[in-house]
Amino acid sequence: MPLITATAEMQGIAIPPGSAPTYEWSATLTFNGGIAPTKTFFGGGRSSEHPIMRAQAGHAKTWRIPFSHVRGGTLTIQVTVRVGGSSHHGTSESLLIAGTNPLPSAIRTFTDSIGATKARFRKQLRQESSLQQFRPPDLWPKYSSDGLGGVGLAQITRPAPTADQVWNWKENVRAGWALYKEKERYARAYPATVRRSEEFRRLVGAYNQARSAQRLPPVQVTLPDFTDEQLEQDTIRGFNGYANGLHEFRVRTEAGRLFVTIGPDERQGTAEWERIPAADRGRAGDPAYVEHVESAQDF
Amino acid sequence: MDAAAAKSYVSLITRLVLTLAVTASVGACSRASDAPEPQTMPSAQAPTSMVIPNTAPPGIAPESAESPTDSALDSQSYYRYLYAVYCNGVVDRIDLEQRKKVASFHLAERSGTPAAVAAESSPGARPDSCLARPVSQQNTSEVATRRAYVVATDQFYRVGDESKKRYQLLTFLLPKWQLEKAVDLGLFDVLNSTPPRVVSDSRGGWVVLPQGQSNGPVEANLKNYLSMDNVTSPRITEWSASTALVEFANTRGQQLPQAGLADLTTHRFTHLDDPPNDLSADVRLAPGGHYALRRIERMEKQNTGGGQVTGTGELRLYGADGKTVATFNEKGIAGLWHTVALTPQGLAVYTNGSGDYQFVPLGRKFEPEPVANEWTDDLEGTRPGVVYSDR
Repeated sequence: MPLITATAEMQGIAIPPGSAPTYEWSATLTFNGGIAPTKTFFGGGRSSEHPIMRAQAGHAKTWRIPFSHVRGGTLTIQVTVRVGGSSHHGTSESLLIAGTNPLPSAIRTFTDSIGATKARFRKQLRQESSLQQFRPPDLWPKYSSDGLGGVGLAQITRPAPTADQVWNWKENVRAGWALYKEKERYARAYPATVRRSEEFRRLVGAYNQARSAQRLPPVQVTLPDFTDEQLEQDTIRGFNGYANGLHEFRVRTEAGRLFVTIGPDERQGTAEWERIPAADRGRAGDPAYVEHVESAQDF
Repeated sequence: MDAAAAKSYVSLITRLVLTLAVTASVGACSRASDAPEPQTMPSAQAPTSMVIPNTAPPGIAPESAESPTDSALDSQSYYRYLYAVYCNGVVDRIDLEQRKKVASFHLAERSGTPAAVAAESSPGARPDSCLARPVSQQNTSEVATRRAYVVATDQFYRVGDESKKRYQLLTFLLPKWQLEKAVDLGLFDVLNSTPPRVVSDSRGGWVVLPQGQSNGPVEANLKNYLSMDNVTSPRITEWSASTALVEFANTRGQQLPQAGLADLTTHRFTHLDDPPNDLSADVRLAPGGHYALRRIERMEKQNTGGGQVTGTGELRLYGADGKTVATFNEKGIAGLWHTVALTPQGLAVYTNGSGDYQFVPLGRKFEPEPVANEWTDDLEGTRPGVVYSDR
């Protein structure tokens, strides 16, 4: 937290003998990403504020502002001084509290401390934000260019980021890791979902019909779970929002027909997962997002 | 733990003076902590500029350069091609007459061996800071040199905890983008700051501006301009000829992204008409400075929660008196389109950040004076640097 102490000085104001001025202090800290002086690229419609800070009336002419939340923006300090039956008001101007980006080693230390030890997650932070919670040179929160209000190191987008995640990089990374774990659960469950799907049953049925036409016995087709590698890759795709409703993998087909590796007993067969080519991913989002994350440099 | 202190002396309505002792513990507020840190105003930063030696003065073409035949070109002709230079090193060549992208290449292919502009580690990978950003052209004579001056680095990522990267000023001959010269600029913090900004100086050389120093008109001077009522936190974003586009907050009424035109000759400030909402903050200056264009945006609710700020397709063109002189509704730029530039031919050029462009004719020509700005970074690929040339 910044340490800011305000001092009120009365110049040319006569203080009657025997009277002590009383000071009433208050401060606000607000951020509006669309309006000067805190305007930042893609920050339109994004705002935050620190709860108003006040001090009880007292005789102290100095006040250390009691920040309770990690926030930034425009700091405005107000003081009312009452002395000798009259009041005097003062307001500060032009004090901005901006962010500072952490070093990669600090991010690494923190990710390790919360169990976020996967290299792909760290690479994802780099690809998402260039390892910047705040956008230079003004160092206001770094919002995403897609207008969705994704912010910070992990570009937290959905659910909408909290003010803590906007201003506190550790909370941002923590939310990013929570999202990663959530998407990992989805990815882990996805193969079972596909196995139960009408589409997969239809593919298996069509496959066995074709075998039957060739006077071959039907096979029981299994679809494996993701490998650890596939699980991470599908998780990353989920983190990016499953653009166009697509996972990283789909059931492999050839000419519209299920691709099956037949076991030695010719009664069991195994279907496969294949990566969805970028060309089949549509225009929404980054079709090669996972490849981009994987090619990013770890830290 | 180091400590940094800054003081801000505050004027009061009465004779009560507030003195703020701002103490930020650098260690606690930066490298490893959660907290933002107090920032002094830009005007408090001490300017120290670095002169770049041994560069060809702008406007003087060496023998190897192809010089335009002045008699064959009117000033508008110098602006036939717009090169959009992206931070990832990609350059798109746009023919403004045909209104289409006619070529695209990566500067790594044209910046020597080893390449002075880092190649992408894989197509689409995002660098840690801008790899290439052209120096803003200031006038037609700079455009006529058929040169592009690009601040560039050969380093794709920062290394470890080192926040600095080395940058060079590269001179390219157009239209082939043939590397003519490379001058080392030194190391620059790109974690909490941006790559260096280079401008031509009055002696025909180049200087690196220190962080926070403007080569355009300085905001502080605006205080004395006429018609600055209700203006607070003015910030110059672009300038052309003798006009600066200024964004500011209004001290009264609804909080809107206000903008105005500052005439640097008459020291008069003109407010642009209010935007319809607090989202439409994208205002760009037209060449010559007599017009400005605002893109109207809205918030679309998302099924998954939150909202998306997106363009409506509406554009409002303001004249020198600040009034709306024309409104355009272009479905083609509704959605996520970003302004590249307003061109002297009277086109507003937009990119979707994926190499596609849209062109909106604004119904009038502007003056052949390029628009300069202070932006040095564009990692999202939504506001590329612009270089004009007749070829």
